[in-house]
Amino acid sequence: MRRFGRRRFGQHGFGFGRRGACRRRFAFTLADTPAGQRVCLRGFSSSLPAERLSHLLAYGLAPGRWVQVIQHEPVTVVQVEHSELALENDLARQIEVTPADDSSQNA
Amino acid sequence: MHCHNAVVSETLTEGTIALIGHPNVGKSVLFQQLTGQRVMVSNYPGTTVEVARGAVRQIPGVALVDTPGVVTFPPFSEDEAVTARVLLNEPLRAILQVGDAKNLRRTLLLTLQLAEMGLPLVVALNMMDEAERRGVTLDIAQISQQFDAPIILTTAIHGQGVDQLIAALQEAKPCRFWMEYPADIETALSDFQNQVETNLSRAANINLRALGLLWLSGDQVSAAWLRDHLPAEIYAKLESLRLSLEAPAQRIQQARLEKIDSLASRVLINVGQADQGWSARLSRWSTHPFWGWVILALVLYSLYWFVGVFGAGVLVGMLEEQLFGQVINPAVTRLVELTIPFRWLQEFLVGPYGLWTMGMTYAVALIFPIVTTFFLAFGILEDSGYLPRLAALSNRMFKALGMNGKAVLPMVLGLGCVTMAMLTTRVLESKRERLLATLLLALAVPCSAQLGVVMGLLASVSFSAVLIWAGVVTLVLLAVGWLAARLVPGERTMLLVELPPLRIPQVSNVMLKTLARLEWYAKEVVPLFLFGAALMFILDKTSLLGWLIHAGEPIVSGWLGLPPQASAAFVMGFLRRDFGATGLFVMEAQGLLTPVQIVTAMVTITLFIPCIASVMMIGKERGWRIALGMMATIIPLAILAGGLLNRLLLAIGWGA
Repeated sequence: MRRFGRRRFGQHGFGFGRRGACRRRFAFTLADTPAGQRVCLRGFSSSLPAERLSHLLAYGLAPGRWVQVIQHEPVTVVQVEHSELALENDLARQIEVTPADDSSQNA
Repeated sequence: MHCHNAVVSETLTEGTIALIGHPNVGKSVLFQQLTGQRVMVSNYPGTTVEVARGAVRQIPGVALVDTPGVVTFPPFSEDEAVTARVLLNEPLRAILQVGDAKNLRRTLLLTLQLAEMGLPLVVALNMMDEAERRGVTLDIAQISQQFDAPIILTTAIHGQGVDQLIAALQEAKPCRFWMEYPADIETALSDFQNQVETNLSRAANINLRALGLLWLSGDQVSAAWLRDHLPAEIYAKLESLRLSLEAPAQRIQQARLEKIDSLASRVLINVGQADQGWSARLSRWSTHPFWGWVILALVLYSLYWFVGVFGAGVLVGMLEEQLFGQVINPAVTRLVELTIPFRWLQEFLVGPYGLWTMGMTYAVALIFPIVTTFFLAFGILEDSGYLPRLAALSNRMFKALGMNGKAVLPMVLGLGCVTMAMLTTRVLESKRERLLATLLLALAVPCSAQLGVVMGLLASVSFSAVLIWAGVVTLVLLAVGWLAARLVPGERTMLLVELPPLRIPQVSNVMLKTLARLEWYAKEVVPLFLFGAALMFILDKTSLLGWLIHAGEPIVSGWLGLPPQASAAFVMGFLRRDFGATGLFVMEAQGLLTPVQIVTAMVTITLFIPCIASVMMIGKERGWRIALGMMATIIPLAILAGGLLNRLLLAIGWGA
């Protein structure tokens, strides 16, 4: 597991367990999610610049939504709705997720 | 003014419609369909960085403005800001939003923001063919009702839905969409409206509530607009109003996201299946940590073969040596000698620095085949959707240079034409990154014309000469980039880029783009080459050239170890780098250069400042202080690197 826990998540007003879409079990980021898994987004690191946050949200990487992780090298690629987004690993590390234990779950 | 009838039909007959939407959703394709005008269309975000205007063919008197893609409001990059300025400053009659039908939530988030502006709004849900193939089903009537705006399904590339779109635009009414925000934001919005309503020096284009939302979200474009149109004390009041709120931007966006989520759960009847075909598989390979590089190597090799071997070798050989050298130029020379009695005028036209024998021959026989093959190959690459994948692959390298992988777009485009590429630096998110990318473009990215000449010349020496040249230029690029990234203050932006589906390029679009680029190139290159030839002729006749060669001798011969005549090539290099390189090409053909001199000269001319047109572009885009600063850095650096290389090659006895 990568370094985690020192940063504060759930800042920017995008908090935990929004509308109960996904329940928190342990701190886990998009960068820690194995390729191929579907995960539910929970929140963002407080150190994420406002401009990046705004773009992530606009692209659909918003708390409560589900994404599928496709790969991590050389960059993290995720599928959101019907589009693929490539994001730097450092950026993926600032996005907290709840891993899905049932891949049939869908938002 | 009075109404003749209780029901007034306000059919659109004049004014401007803005075409707005996310990057890479087909705005420019629709622009072409509606106006019949050619604009650049590609399969990567950031093709349009400036607005394009055209008259709508089917609605006389109405103009359409094509804008750069915007991810969300407030805008963050320069190209997005262009779009925001269109919304605030153009007297718009309507907005035509183009959205991707298969990515509904994202599209509707922008629809919501545009609907709030109160202008007549029509939404084109585009790429319906792709959405249908994936099984996406939507409740269009409900979306239309929610936003008080007609929703038209289109597949712009095949012209489907365009007629309905025109009908909808003609009948579009001001949008009355309204949504509620948290109580303190609503209070701030009514305060904003009260303050602004009576004090604005010019009526706002969009409604004040939407302007207030932009302002509260921290938008720089609306801030500048308000500063221009409000008394200073009112503007100061607005600032304190915004400061009194807690994270307004985030809470506004959160309220919108919740609204869209709840709407999407009702209108998305079937979310569809992810694409599993060849495009998806090839997409995976193209960004694979190992196969991605193999594919890149194949792409580069094909590019080298098509442009370097076929364009610069076969085609140039046919045109320059056979057609121009043996047929056209001797004929033109004879004709001029027979018809023009003045010796100086003959020389001006067909002498060693003649308008025809130098200017036109360089432009048409040497440069034209190279740029044509490059633009063809580049058009195919653009339309396939491969370029954003290159951004993902190269992110690590650009990270070391203080940027992110997105910077690869202007760099690769720079291989076509550095001047055009400098405009594309607008897609980069921060001022710092735009500056770094511009510096590297000006320093070390050769344009296709120059690359072709350089390759042709080096290939005639040996493959190791090509490797030395490429190695030194790359090393300088990396070293300067690394150093500049540490010297220029500011933070790097982390990569976030959409990977559009890989598509088979349309032959007609590639051809149209190549033609448009060639036309642009001819307009820029031919006059400059003619001007360059005329300048060289005057310098030669007034003995200034001899003086310049003599003055440049300590640097050109003493430090770079080149024959004194090479000074002339560097003077030409000030006009265009490829013009200078071509001058050296001719010197080599006359047997004036040794292998070491060729490599040294090619490295120096590659690193030399780019053409006058791109210096102008740097001045326009980044300011004249920066343009001058870059010239003052780049010229000595190019000469320093060339001289050091010359000494190193001589010391190790290379090419002897």
